[in-house]
Amino acid sequence: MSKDITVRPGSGVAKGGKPGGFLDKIRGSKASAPATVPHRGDAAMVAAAMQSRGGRPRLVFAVDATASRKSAWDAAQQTTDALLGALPGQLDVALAVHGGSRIKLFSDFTDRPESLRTQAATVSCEQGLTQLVPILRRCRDASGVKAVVYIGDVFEEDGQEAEEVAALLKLRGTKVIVLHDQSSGARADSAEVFASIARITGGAVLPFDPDSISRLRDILEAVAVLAVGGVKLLEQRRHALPGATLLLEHLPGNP
Amino acid sequence: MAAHGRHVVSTPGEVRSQIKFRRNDLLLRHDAALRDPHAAERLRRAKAAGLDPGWIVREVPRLPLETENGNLVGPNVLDMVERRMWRFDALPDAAKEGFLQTLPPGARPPKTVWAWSIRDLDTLWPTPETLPCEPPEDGEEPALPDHPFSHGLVSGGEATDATAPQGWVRVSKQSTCQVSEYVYRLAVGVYGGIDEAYGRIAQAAVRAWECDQERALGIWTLVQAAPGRVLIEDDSLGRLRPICSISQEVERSILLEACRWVGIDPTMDIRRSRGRPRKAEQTSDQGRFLRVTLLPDNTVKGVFIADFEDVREGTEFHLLSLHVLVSALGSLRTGGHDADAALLEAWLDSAQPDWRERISGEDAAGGGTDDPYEILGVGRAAPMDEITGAYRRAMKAVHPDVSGGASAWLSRTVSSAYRQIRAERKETVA
Repeated sequence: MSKDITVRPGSGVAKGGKPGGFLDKIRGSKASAPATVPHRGDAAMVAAAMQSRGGRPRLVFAVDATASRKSAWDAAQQTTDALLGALPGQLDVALAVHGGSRIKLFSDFTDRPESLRTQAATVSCEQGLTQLVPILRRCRDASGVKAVVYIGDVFEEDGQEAEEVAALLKLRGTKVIVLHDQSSGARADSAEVFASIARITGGAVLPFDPDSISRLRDILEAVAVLAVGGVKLLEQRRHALPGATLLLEHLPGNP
Repeated sequence: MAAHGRHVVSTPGEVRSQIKFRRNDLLLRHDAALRDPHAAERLRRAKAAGLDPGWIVREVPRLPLETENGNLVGPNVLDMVERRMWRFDALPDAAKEGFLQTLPPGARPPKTVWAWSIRDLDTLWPTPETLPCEPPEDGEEPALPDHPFSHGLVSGGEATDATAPQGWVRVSKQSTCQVSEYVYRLAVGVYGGIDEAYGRIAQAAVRAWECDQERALGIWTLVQAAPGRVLIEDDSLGRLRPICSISQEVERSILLEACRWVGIDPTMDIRRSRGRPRKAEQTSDQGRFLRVTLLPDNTVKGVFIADFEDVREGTEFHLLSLHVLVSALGSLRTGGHDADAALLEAWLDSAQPDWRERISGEDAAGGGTDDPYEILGVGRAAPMDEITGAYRRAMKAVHPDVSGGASAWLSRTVSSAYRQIRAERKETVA
């Protein structure tokens, strides 16, 4: 197909009643697949479709808890509430932590802030290589994950594998938001991989400052809103949410 | 010519085309007599072989030498500069000292170095064993050569009026180069004809010769100025070195031109990257009924891979109406096909981010637009002949030759709209 056309009766017709638009689209199209006769969907099915996944949308809060990451992990622990507080009862959140070259924690999805807090308290930092790719794989296997927010400073894995899993996440409609901590010195290759994961999934890379807890809280609230209602809801709420404007600036299509 | 190898890399059985052209050459001007250092020995050997001693040339008055047929013969600039490996110990003292100054203090010089020097004119004469011709048989006089020098070390040509640098004489001569048959055909394609290709190849060859002469002249000047008149090579000399293979230089320039002609960047590295080849570039994910693929531009393409309700296998998502897709999404979800549902929902979110609003809006407004008047693009009060005209135009546009596979459905939609209007207006269906 060279052009994207919607071949539903009426939908391609110019409102003014001129046949030009509809016919031009037909002429401009080269259909390769046999089209079926469309008809109006059964109302019940449409209603079923409108409900998201039968359950609530999900978000994964992933954190790099290797040895050098103590301050970031402390900041993350103090802000888990923000993810569930922004839209109470509309979002399930899981906590994923890597350290010591393995996934230390991938919690169940929950909407109870105290449950996240308790699980976070069991994790401490441990030296090792980053494990973002395995975490992203788990996020892909858990259905209905709308967003992953990751706090990290370096990327020490295979960049190509990261791009592959990012592509799979994109197909599942999962956006990855990276909060890149450059306080210990920026590494260009890591920044490049984070940027490409964000680009592929339609997410964003934002700078992260472990000393500014309130700023982190703002961003996490905005990501929670993004997970529930997408860019549209984020735009509607941008006046009430201090982090919304910042996140929108970094998302694609909002230069 | 000493420095100029005529070697070209070619594969066995390869056909090479020979191109003739005229070019200039620079011969050394030397206004003093040049004596054969081996004259006595050569004379002795000639007598022993029964040759006429008069055939032995012991001295030429100047360079270039004017031959009997009026041509000028002598070493050209490329013959006059010599590149060879020197033992460091064997270098002239001035050259050694100059080189040691370029090294960091305390560093030891290498055992050998590559260096350029100026040819000793005595070496133009062949070795004493070489006689001008074979001993005569049957008393006939043999044909004597134009000049007494080693053939590989001199060049010749007709005198020209063109100016030459100080110390050189410019001559004009016939020359040839050979290009591979494929390169020649390529040149014919690029330049638009056999004559054009021949001319352009000849021009490229003349240019390549001129460049080499310039380079050799540069080396000559540098050697003259070098301590001990030996120029030790370093990296900076790389671009000054003569190419010494005109045919390959010509082939290279034609291939570059051809690349530009077809729009390929000739500097692009087309070697496959090392290591395991990359997996298929497109990532896809599928459930039982549908598959989504991430395209290189980061958009997602979706297709049904099995019949699902009214949708046939092979149908691409974007060909379907939002209602059909949303209804399918609902059926997938209620049917427990969660993977399919997740992929379809993600596709809708990505392709039509406002699909939820559109569906709710349409539902609120009482539904879709199956209005036959809108399909045909005519006003509700339009006279019947206008409607018929619109129908015919539409049918022409959806003819299979015009719109491919979509036409079956499109023409059905258009004709059913037309039939519906006729029925509503109680027109007889023809």
